[in-house]
Amino acid sequence: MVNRLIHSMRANNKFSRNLQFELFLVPVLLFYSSFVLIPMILSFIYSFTEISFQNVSYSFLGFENYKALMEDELVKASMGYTAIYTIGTTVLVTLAAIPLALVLDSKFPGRNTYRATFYFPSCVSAFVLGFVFQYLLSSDDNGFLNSILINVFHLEGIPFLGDIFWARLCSILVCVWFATGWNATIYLAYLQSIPEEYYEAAQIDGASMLQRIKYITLPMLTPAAKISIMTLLTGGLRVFDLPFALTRGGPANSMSSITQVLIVRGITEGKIGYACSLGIVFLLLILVITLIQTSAMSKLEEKVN
Amino acid sequence: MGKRAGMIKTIILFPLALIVIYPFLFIVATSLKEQTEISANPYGLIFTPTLENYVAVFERFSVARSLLNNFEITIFSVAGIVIFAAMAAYPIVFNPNRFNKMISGLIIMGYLIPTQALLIPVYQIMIKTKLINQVPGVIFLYLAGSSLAVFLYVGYMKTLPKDLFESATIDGCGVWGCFWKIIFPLMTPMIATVVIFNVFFVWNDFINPYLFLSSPENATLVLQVLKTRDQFAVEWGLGLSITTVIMLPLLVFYIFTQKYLIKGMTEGAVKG
Repeated sequence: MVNRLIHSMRANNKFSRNLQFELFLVPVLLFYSSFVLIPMILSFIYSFTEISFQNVSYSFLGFENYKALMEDELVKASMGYTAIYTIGTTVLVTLAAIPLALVLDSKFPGRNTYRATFYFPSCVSAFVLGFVFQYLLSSDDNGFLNSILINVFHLEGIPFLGDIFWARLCSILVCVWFATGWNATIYLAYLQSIPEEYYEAAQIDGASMLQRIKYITLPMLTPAAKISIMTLLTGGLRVFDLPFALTRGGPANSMSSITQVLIVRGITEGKIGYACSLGIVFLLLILVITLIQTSAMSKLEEKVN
Repeated sequence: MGKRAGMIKTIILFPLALIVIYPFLFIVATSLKEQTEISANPYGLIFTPTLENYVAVFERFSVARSLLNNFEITIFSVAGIVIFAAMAAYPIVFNPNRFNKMISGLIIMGYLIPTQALLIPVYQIMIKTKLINQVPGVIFLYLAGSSLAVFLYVGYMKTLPKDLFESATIDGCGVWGCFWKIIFPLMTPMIATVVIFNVFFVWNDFINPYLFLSSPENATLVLQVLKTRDQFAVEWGLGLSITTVIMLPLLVFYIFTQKYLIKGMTEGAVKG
């Protein structure tokens, strides 16, 4: 009898302890489920229906919305631009960040000032930077680069933001301008964790500087590359602020991001079901690419070590 | 030899650093120029400064109100993320059971989900709950994005010695008290990282205020920049003076936290 009482008290105690612990999850779960989990489920359901802000009936459409996505010129344009931007920025930022990190890792006068300088642009909103570059790259003769081309080099002005090719290139280069320092800092963090003895041993063995970079530095940088490339890929696929600030998605929709099309179709035009199908494709695209990239880089990591 | 090689690096990096820094000098300089000076000498850095643009934007665009909104949104969102995410990490680390493991996976999954992909139902929820156009509505959205913070806290909490918690329990510390008296104060280094990242993110965010705070009295500074462009595209001084107002608090914050920022990034990166 007494034993049973103690037993039930203990169980009760354990239950109340568990409950007390679970209460700590409440705030995060409340916001997370209201604005992430439930919207995710709703997106999925809506994507198979014809629901819109005007029409609240949920007529079931099957995969019609998904099929219509493939015919939508604006969706195609945004996918094309997003692919170009993502590949362009990932390749160029990585190619610029690794040498910058190698230089910033060595000793030279003013090193800390340089580190802080190169990092700073990533602290400022991409939208604001796009807004500023819109002036600097302005297509008329008043633009900063154009006034240099015309007045200093006596060349003709270039429609930096007025021409599809130039505008897309400029959006990529502005990203390289502000993201290189941040990514270099990730590489730098890993460079600083390479033990000095590795280099000393290599030097004793008579390895040249290029050999040291090839056999010690680069393999040690693979984990940094895994993170840096992941943030570049996801950042590129999610891009919205920068092209929106530079040209509002123009010229001729050549810089519309997936997010911008989602807003136009879903909020401006009110086609909820249709926009949700785009949202689901967007979400899957990012998940699949992230998974492929991280598992590929993890394999590479195992190989070089 | 070493010294000369060092000097060469300093010299080679200088033009690169100039390219990085010039747009910021351009922003501040233009904001201090008169309209006539901007047309005559748009890119020069030597001129007679004036506060004309600042007076104009504070009068015409209620920038003071927006600045206040920015502070309000940033402070409440960041404080909420710092506290709630640490709370969520506590049962995941110190009371690991099947349910909590599942929850932890679910929350951390949020880091991979692009929130923009869910914009449409979020927009609908904001309208239905009447949170649209309300400052708290946007704060709630930022609080929903605490996945990375939970992940960082879980990683850090796991490094704490387990017997620390057990001895406190024996001394009569309850589940509630133990967190606030012992665990949370020990989180300070991670709190610094979480604060720094989220301050920059929330202060600079464009898409959430753009979609969910359209009325002028609730606008944030970034929205005011957009407004000057749409209304007064030729008057660069207006937009760029608001830009300076956006960057100035960030610059001060950056100078004070730069050391922790890079350290935090390393920790976050190494654990990620």
